Amino acid sequence: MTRRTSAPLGWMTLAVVVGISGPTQLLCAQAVPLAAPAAAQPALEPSSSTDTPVPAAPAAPTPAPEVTFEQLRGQLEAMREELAAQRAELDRQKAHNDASNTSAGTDAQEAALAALASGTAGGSELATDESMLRVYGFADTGMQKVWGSLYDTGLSLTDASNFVLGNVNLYFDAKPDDRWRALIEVRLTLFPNGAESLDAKTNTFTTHDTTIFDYTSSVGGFTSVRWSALILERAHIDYTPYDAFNVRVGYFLTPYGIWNVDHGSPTRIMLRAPFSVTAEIFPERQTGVDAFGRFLFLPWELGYHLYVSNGRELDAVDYTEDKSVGARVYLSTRRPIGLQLGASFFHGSAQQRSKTVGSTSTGTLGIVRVIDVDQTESAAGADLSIDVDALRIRSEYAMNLTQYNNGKRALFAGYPLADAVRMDAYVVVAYRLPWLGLEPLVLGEIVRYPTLLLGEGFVTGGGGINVYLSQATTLRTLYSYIRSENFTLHGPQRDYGMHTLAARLVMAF
Amino acid sequence: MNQRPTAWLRSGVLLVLLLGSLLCAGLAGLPQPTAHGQAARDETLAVIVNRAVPVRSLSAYELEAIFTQVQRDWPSGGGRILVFNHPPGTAARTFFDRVVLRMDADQVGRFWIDKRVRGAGLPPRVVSSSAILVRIVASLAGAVGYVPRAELTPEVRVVAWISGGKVLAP
Repeated sequence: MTRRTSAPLGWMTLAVVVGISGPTQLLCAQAVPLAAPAAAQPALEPSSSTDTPVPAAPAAPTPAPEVTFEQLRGQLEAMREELAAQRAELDRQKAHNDASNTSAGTDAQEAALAALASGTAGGSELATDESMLRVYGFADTGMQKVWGSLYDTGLSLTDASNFVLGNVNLYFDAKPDDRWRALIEVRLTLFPNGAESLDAKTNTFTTHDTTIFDYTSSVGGFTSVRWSALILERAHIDYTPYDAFNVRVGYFLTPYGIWNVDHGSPTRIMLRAPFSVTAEIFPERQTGVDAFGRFLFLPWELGYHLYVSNGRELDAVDYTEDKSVGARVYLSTRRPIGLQLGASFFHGSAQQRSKTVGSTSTGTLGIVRVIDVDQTESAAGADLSIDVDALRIRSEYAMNLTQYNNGKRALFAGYPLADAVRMDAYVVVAYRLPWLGLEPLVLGEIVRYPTLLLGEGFVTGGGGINVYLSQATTLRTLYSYIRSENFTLHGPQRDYGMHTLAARLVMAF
Repeated sequence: MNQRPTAWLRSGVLLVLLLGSLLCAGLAGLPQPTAHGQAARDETLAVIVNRAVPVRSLSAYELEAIFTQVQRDWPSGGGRILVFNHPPGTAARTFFDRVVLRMDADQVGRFWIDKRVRGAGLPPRVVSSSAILVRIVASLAGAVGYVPRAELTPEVRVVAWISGGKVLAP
């Protein structure tokens, strides 16, 4: 919902004229009625923009009617009031334009006008404007509560209600050239202080404490502070010569499905991430080269991504020349309804290594590299988005087959993981009501993610309400219930359940 | 679970606070009088391009693709499209968005926020004066914009009319 008001086209046209000529124009117009008010008065009315402005008619030879000084003073006051109102409206629109995050207008306009004034208008002048670094982002904060028998397994940090700082993400977007762009996104966090991590080898949890004494404080270091880290969400350089072919190099979000592409809390419909994301059925981010583009068959659009990367990167680097590959293709349209069909694929290998000091292959004392984990995986996914008026449907399916080589298996809670097929499917349906900015939603999800501790998988159901407070601000709420399930495995039935209740105030800026 | 009753009481209070916030937020989100409602007069807009642009007409689909930055290049090697728009909330912008993009001002705003969060780009540049917009389009190769019919000059080429809620060929 917008709170903006605006004038009709014709009114706006008059306002522009006033803005350029100012009071002089009105005073000149005012002078005409003194001689021939009957003939000239129509020129003072707001004219339709579809009409050519009508010049004031020459003074008619008929005698002017009697006009008293008081009448003229009244007309003058009325004109002054109208001028003041128009000025106020122009100022409002200018302020609105300046404040709007959805436009970069004034700078471009100034650059273009400068180019026009200098007589050297061309693409390079506008490119100068685009070279400016633009900073924007989003933030969300709120509260949440987790409870239930799954919590009792010890996985969650607490079952108490907590106010939380969610995402504080900043984008640094630079376009130094018409066909080049650099995009860096960072998430500011309070991590890692107080957060837990699990060492799979020793099977121990560690709570991190980042409290340090601030030696720069004026009291001589007796002030303690907690340092925190930022998460690099993405950092890549794009070369965009054509609609059909572009190249992205760097650290990018894996192009798959809906959630990972939507990426941020202002864009996603539901608060809770699907398990395909939390369990990383596809790697969430990769370092490599991504060729992407789109072909238009209006109103349809066929888009693609083809990438080569280091893959999952269990460690900081890829230890082999066997690079990972992936692809995404989608078909979308906005007419007659919003529809997008997508399919994604990924294949790659990953290793984890450690080093010890010991006897090398030549029998000498040295540093020995040991492969701890060696895995090959393939992932595939499909997604569907439907927008029909106020109805939004999102659904994703993703599966992953991971196989470990030569017994080099990853550990979870101290136990080696088996080769497994993991899959996740969810659907979320939301409907924007015509009043109060409310959008109720329901979700359902089924997950196959076998672990010794928790069983074969989960089923999830839930619902919530999104409240659209303004274009940039949304309150999102979600309740969901997760229950463990054994779909096919013949083992002890895990009977775990967990309730989650969360609310976030989300703002894009 | 061995929770004290007060813990549930506190949780209940928090839940009430949450629901209260939801209600207040909903009331704050009550629809306001919009530009769409106040300035929905069907005026005639002319979609204009620089005379060097190698197109003679643009369909509704093409206009939508161009002004949503889905299509960034002119066909036939015409180079990069430079899109110039009117500020949000103005009558021309509201009318154009309603007819061509089939979105109201709120939806357009969210559309560009979504694109930005996805890292998919920024909205077109905005020019607040139709007269200036015409001059810019006339001067910049690859430029496209739209203005009320009364603002037209011979220096630009009309590639579509927007009138009566439809996109019409020139």
